Amino acid sequence: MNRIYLTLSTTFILSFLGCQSTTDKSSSSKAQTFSDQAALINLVRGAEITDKERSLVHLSHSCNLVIDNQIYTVIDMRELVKGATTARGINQIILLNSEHQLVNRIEYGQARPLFCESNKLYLYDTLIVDGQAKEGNVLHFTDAGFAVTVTTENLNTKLPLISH
Amino acid sequence: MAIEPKWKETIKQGLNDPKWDKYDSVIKTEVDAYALKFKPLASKVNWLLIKAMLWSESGGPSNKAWDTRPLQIGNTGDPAYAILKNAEEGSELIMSETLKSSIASGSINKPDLNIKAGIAYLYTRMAVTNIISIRDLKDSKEYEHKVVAGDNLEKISKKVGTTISELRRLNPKSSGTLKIGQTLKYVKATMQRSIIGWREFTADTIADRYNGGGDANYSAKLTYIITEIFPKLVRTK
Repeated sequence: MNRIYLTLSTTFILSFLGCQSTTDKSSSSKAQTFSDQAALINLVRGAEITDKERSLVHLSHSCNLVIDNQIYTVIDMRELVKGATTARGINQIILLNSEHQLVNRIEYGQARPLFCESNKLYLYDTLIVDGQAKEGNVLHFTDAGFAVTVTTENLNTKLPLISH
Repeated sequence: MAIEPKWKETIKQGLNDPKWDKYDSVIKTEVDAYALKFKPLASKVNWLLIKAMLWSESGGPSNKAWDTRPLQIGNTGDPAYAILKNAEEGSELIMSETLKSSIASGSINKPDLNIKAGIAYLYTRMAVTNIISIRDLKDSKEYEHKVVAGDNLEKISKKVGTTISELRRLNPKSSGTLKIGQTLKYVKATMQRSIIGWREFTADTIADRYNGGGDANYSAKLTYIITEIFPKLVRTK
């Protein structure tokens, strides 16, 4: 079995998924895709979302949400901090409005973002959002992206996402 | 992903060396104190989980971190130390006044303090909190902020000492995008939390919340130490 060893340096290591976003055809603003890794870095730098003292190890455009007929960009950002024996992670789901301004950010450990459907973001695992006692793998965004509620769905029932 | 053999060999050094138990009493004292403070939680926290975290994070007595930052609070870029120093994100509900004062004024590189800080951070991360925006009763004046390039509501709220809720309440038409040069009204306010529940203190949840997903093997390492190492410790009385 081959093992791939990642070397973390002060330069960014990016993983661009190039995923196709799902958009509501009735939305009034244009869907956003990022085909240029540099553009994505510039975007988060410009919005001062990254921390200069951490190593940015993953940055990707997960998908676009449609909230109240407006498009919001979901970014998956992972940073690491060096420890004595093990790195500590700061993983965040970042939500940007159509002007690429930060609207919301949600920390996660393993519950990385998978795909969007209208105003819902589906996650790989469950998480608890501040202010709510229950766990869930689906984040529902309302109120221009500022409000989030959590529910649970069986991902298997959503498949397939794209019909061929 | 399997745990690295080299890591296991390091941890196995603790099997026959009582120096690895140096901080047991510090951990037990803190866990007992939190058990009293947060009574429903009492039966759920096993102090050995924290001891396993300490062994895993520090690498044991032969590692420099053992005598400075055994729970790795205070490393460059890590949010934990700032959160505790500023008594933010619910840590103000967790820490005792003595601990708050020690963290604010003491060196985080003193091992006992580092452990207490690490445990306080763990409890902070494991608490489920409700958050509400509270206006400053001593200062009800309405201020203004002119939007500059790079601003967003989160950044502005931290800069001027208000909350996103207040900014949105006083500037309802600005809930969407901000424009450079636009003037936003605000009043002084802070986000205040109350604990409404606790996440389960398991290896998986601790890996998620304390390690933040930084080490894919963190949960497995804690479980390995607790199930394979601790039951086999050799200690002469």
